[in-house]
Amino acid sequence: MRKFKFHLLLFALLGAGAAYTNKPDKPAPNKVTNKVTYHTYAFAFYNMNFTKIYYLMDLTEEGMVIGIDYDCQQPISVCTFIADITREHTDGTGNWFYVSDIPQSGINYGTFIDFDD
Amino acid sequence: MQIHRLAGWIPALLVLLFVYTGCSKLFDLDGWTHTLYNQPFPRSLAPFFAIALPCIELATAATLLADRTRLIGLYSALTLLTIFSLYIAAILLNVFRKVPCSCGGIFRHLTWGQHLWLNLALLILAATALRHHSTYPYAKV
Repeated sequence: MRKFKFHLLLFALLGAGAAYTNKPDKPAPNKVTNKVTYHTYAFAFYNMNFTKIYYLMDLTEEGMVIGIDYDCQQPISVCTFIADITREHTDGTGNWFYVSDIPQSGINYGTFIDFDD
Repeated sequence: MQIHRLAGWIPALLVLLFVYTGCSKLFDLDGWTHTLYNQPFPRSLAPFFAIALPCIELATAATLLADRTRLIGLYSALTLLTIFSLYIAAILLNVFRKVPCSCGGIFRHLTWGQHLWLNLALLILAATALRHHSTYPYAKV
């Protein structure tokens, strides 16, 4: 009777290897050179279809223009965020994301989710 | 005999799953912590869960490796999968005020609905392995 199954250990190593291979790339510390391809922001949560990211902070503090870069509903702290690759979006959290992960479509005023329901 | 062989491979699948998910969280601890901040539970719990959850997942995988502790591992896997499934079901049923973003690794590409189906499938497999292990604790794989 074997006490230890080595093929299971092999699966454990495979899992660790897969996790290491799939770990997200860390952006280079030089923000200027990566400005075009990366943005920093703290997203709050996605909608059900993962087509929008809702934001929980005042984006005007970051130099973003309401109605162009973002739009909000009441309560004003819940906003949709539209990526603008010409801008650097920072909120101080240091959390970096690929632009491809951010919705690029225009603001759709008709599909806000009312979280107060 | 065929059933013995199939059921014997389920712990291998669970080891792969829990080592992958545990290591994914630890390899990207900052991102994982941010993900937890966006979940619908108190923010103060996030740093604790950020470390505790991957450690529990890796401990579960470790207990599945040895014959003596496999039963504990299977119970632990079943419990974790049940908790995750209930959590996802609660999200899909809009129990919480917001829909949080999903977890890291390859699973971040899944919608919550797909996540739930995957979890339920794994839950059934874990229950099958547990039942098989209770009947034939030292069945050869």
